[in-house]
Amino acid sequence: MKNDKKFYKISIIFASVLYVAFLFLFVIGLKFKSVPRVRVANNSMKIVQAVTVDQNKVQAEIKKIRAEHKAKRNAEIARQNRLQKLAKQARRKRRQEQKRLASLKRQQKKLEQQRKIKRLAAAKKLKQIQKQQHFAQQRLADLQKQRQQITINKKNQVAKAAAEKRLQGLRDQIAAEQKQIAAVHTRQIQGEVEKYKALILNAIGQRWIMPAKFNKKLSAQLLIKLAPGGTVLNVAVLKSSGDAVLDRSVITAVWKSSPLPTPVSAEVFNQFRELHLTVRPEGLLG
Amino acid sequence: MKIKSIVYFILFLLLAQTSAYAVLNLELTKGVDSSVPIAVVPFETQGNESPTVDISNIIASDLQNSGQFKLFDTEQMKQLPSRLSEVDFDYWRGLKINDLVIGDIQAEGGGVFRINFSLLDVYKNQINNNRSTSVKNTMGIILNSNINPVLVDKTYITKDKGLRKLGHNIADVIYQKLTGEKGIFSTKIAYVLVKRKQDYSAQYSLVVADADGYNQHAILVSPQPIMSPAWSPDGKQIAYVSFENRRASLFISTVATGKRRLVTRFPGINGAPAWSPDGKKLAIVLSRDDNTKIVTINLATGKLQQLTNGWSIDTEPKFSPDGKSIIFTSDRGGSPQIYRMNLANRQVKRITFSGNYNARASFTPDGENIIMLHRDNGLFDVAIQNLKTGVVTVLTGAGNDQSPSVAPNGKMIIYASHNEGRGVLGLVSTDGRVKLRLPESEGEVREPVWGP
Repeated sequence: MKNDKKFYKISIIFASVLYVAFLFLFVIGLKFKSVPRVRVANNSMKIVQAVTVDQNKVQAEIKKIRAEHKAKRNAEIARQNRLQKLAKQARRKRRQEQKRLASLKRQQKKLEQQRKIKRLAAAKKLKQIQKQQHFAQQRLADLQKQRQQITINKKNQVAKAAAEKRLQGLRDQIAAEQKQIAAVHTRQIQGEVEKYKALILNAIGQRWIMPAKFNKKLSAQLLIKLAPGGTVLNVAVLKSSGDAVLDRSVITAVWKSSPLPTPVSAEVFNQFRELHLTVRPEGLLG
Repeated sequence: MKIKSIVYFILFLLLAQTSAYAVLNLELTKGVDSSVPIAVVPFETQGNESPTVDISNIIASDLQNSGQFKLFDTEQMKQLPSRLSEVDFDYWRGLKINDLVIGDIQAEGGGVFRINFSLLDVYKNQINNNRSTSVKNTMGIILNSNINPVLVDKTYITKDKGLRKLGHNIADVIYQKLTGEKGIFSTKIAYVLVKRKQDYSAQYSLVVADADGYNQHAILVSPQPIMSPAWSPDGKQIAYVSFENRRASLFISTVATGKRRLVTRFPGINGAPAWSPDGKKLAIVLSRDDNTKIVTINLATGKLQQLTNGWSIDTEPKFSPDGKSIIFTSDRGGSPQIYRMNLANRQVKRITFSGNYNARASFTPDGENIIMLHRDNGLFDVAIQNLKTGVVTVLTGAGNDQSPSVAPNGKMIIYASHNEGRGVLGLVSTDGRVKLRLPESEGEVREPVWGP
């Protein structure tokens, strides 16, 4: 584009130069034609006046005029020659100019080609750079994406933690409230619970015929399910002591203790629906 | 978010719910010391022939004699099931019976009987309870309480004369199942029976009988005293002292054949034989040099080795279960006391310090205790001493008991006692819980020893 512009500029300059040259030639041409016409008019006026002049004088005048014509013709020829010379010069100049222009053009073309090569190289380089840039951009985008993801994750985590914290707070609050409510009951209930725990242990202990020989290191775990009123619904072994006789001695004792002493209050009884009985044989009831 | 919070709320409610029904933890550490109530239902007999012995009665008295069980009186039983389908568990639970033995006897002809018996856990079968037998706990695990109540179920075929032995076998099986320890009802005892004839002369018999005192037979009868019977570790032979020809001699008799061999007949005392655990040696008491000393004799070679020395009377040797030491009675400290000798270095230590008379000591099978005759305030009683703590527990209180011998399971001690002036056999459990007398025989029973 830029080159095209340059090309136009050069063309315009060239055209202007040509124009000026022609204008110059034209003006010179006008001068050459107008001058004799003016002179002719003057001559005829003089001729009118010369009628009264003698032959000699006319002869002389003629001679003079002839000489003047000759001189004028010579001058004209000289001028013509000069003009031709000028035109020649102008032509030469023009040819030179054309040559110069051609060489200029060639140079320009060469330059152009060089530029083109350069341009191509530049374009190539540009493309490469663009490619690199693209990669870089992509990487950047990826990084940004990652960063975004991280921040999102972080945000999520923070939000989650906050939510959890809120939830925990809520839970704590509820738990605390429950505790408070429970605390009021607990004082009354705990006494009741402890009392019945002791009663139950005593009831089972009284019926637990300990095996004649048992390993004091052994322990068993039973799950006892009770119905309201203390009726034993089920006795299950959660963890055997490894000594079948010991296990069975306790299971039988639990069944034989049914119904076990349990609190009358439904609320307190609820704590007695399931009993975890850990058996650790130590010795005989005192 | 809304849904999430609702879910959380429901979860919370559920948690709150379960915490309201949280299981209560209890710890049971103490129970009671008593006999386990069981019932042996008389076995029903079917067929043309009737057995000559009541096998269910043998089982019941064996279990009763062990001291571990309290047998429900058969006269009080309103139901007499002989097979599982006939058992009304609620009835037996109502009687507070822990375990039930049922069975029947089928006469097969030609004196052959087919005996079937079952041992049932009265509390394992909850079918009769009209309740759901499987209950879920809070975790949702189904805990099945409907477990097979049959602990043992066996069938035997035997001739009539094998019924008594079978009864003891079944009692052993039941005992093992219910206590976790080996039964001793099939073991034998040996003792010396002294009978007075009409001319007041004495007749001595070396008698072998079942552990319940029945099924007796004499393997030696002599007009002269028989003393100190001792079972070989394999239970096939008995060593004893016989005064036949008015001289003390040490013999070993084979129980099955009655064949015997003379071991020693030194001048003076030849007494108190005790078998080494490997059965290769006897520790005996000899008085070859006027001092009563403990000597071992190698039964294969007859080689003697004197263990104790000095002027004291050393007698009644017994090997420890590991065979590494012996205990014996000695008056070296003034009064008869029990001493222990390490056989490796012959070092002797006194081990009894309670009472002014301790004799006839022997180890319990675990080697942790000794049982002995213990005199306090002029009364002779059977006592047990813990070798670690030295604590002595008097087990009998009649004041004239003798010759304690412990059962191979270490649970019971048989000893010679007196009832209305007659020598009888007494049984006492090593924990002192149970004491009973075996059926009396005609004559005076002395020096009972429990076979392996």
